Amino acid sequence: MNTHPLPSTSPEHGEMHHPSDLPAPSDPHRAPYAVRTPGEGSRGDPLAQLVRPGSIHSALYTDETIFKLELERIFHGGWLYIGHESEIAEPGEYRRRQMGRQPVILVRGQDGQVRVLLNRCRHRGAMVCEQDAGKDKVFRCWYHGWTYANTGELISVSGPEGYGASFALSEHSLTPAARVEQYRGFVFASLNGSVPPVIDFLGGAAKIIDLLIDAAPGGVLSVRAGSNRTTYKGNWKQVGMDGYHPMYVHASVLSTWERHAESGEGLGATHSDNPFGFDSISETRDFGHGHTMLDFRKHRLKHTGKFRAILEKTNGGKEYIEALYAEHEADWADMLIAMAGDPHLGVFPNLQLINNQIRIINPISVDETEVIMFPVLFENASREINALRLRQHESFYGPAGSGSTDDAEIFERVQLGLNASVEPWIDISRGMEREWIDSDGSIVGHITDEVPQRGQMRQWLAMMSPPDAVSEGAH
Amino acid sequence: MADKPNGSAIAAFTGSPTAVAVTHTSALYADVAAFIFREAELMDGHCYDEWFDLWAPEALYWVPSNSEDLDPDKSVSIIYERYDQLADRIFRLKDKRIHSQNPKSRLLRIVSNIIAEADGEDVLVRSNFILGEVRSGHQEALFGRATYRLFRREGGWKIRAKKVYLLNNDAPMRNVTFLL
Ligand code: FES
Ligand SMILES: [Fe+2]
Repeated sequence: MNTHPLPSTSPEHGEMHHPSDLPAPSDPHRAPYAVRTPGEGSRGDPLAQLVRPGSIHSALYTDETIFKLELERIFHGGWLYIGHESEIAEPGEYRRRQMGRQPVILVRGQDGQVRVLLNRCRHRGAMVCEQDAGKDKVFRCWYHGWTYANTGELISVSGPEGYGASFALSEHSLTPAARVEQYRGFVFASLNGSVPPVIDFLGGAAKIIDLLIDAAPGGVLSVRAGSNRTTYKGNWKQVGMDGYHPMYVHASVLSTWERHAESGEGLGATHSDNPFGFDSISETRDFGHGHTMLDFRKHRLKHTGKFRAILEKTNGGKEYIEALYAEHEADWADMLIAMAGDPHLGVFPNLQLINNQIRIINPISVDETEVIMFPVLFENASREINALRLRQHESFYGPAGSGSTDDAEIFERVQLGLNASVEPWIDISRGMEREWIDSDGSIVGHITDEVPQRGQMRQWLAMMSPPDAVSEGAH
Repeated sequence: MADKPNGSAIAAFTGSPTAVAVTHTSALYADVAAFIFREAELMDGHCYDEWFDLWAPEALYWVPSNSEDLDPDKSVSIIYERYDQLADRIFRLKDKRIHSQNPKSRLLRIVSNIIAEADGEDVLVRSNFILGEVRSGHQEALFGRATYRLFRREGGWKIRAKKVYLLNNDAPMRNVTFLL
């Protein structure tokens, strides 16, 4: 695999600890850092010992020291999805976001440029942007009145005569994220400057993001429909990409869909003929860098008629279909209609594009996670098509939806179960014997296989282990 | 930032110009209040079929997200359902494989501040509630405002539309899969 080990230090965040410096855990079953077995494929890196080819140690989900390292090395050390440029379409519009422990502002400056700025006054550190969302020319700190332009520059301090000649406004701008790059309107930022370009980071996942973007006429998404904000008492890595659970976790929803598979108002329309069955042609896919997909493309192409029929009876649906065929090659337009703008993609570590939503995963603590779901509308589609997208979303997702609530419940039960760490190994070996490598280098398995779990853990280890320990990649 | 609502959904919760306040001492007020308290009891008791029976076929059940009055065609809600989707919700609540309600939440709500307005053959009702939920040893307190459009039928009141504004609907929240 083509992993990119990240440098172990970044100037903003000081020296990182080598895992061998970590304190020995009080409970030897939880995290055997102290156990060093040189030559066991890990060259003695204790974290590497927690990730085996088909299993992982439960300390990855329960250990607070590991969680702190994840914040430092994964969330403060690499690319994170921040938001979509349509959220801040106009100069001055901003959204508050989180990069691990760091509160940031996603803002379009008066100059039109999209920036990600740390939400911390350069004077004595107060948060300068209080609203979740808004629009303004300036951020004024309400502690002592320092005022910043929406480009981040400090434009005035109160009582300037109190500062000597050596004090330069220009040296006190709001701190920008080290890197900010976009992929077709998806804004990513990194607090670590030494990361590859975002397009390289995305790799094969980029063209899967296109499945969503191109499904919008003109490629214009509108992420301005608000959000569902949910939380569960479990580790952030549990919001994985899993195609093995739906028949169990979502059994009650599948029964509901069966009740009126033909009426097709809800999500059942795009999930017909159980895509999660053991005989399904759906697949799992690992693009590298931890980016993984529940790949329904083959399945949905066989069932494209159903969603097309729903579109055709929705006001503006015929025009929508015509627009996609006018803008794209017929094969790709067929795919876009079949997939209904649902890539079912996870971009490691904090972004998922599932059904009609962009989803941000925020780790709160080792056993608490926040999941924010932003339904995506199509700027150039009819009101009715967009309303349909919202209704499909709400039926399954959000704090009262039929699906994500049972997911959250199971994540909490897993978190509780993992405390029984006498036998600490979590099995993620399903499909190891039958996975295969596609022509683009991605690893492919059956929809119920744990290809995504293994892909995510490979990237986890690559980012968590110091570069010298993973120079060969951690396949 | 968000568009002002213009969908029919909003109209369902807005009195017409001819609507008149129902005085607190009237028999109508007592009748409506009794209905609201009865509904609260059915919700607390997970009496799914009896609660669903309160709804008229034109049912609109709405729990907004992020704010109280966004246009539901342009902004996401927590729940936005008509009769058929509400029927699905009830169907699933009765399925023992609904993990988020197995075990069920223990619920107790205090309903107060009832205000009613007669609007043609309908009555618009607003009430506040505090809802305590205990599940798996964990207690949550939810605060909210419910707005109803009711009309009278032989058997009593029916709900044409109900909107539940949760005070924390713009904050990260845990599952709210019980009846609201
Ligand atoms: S902390 Fe911001 S002006 Fe003093
Ligand atoms: Fe799920």
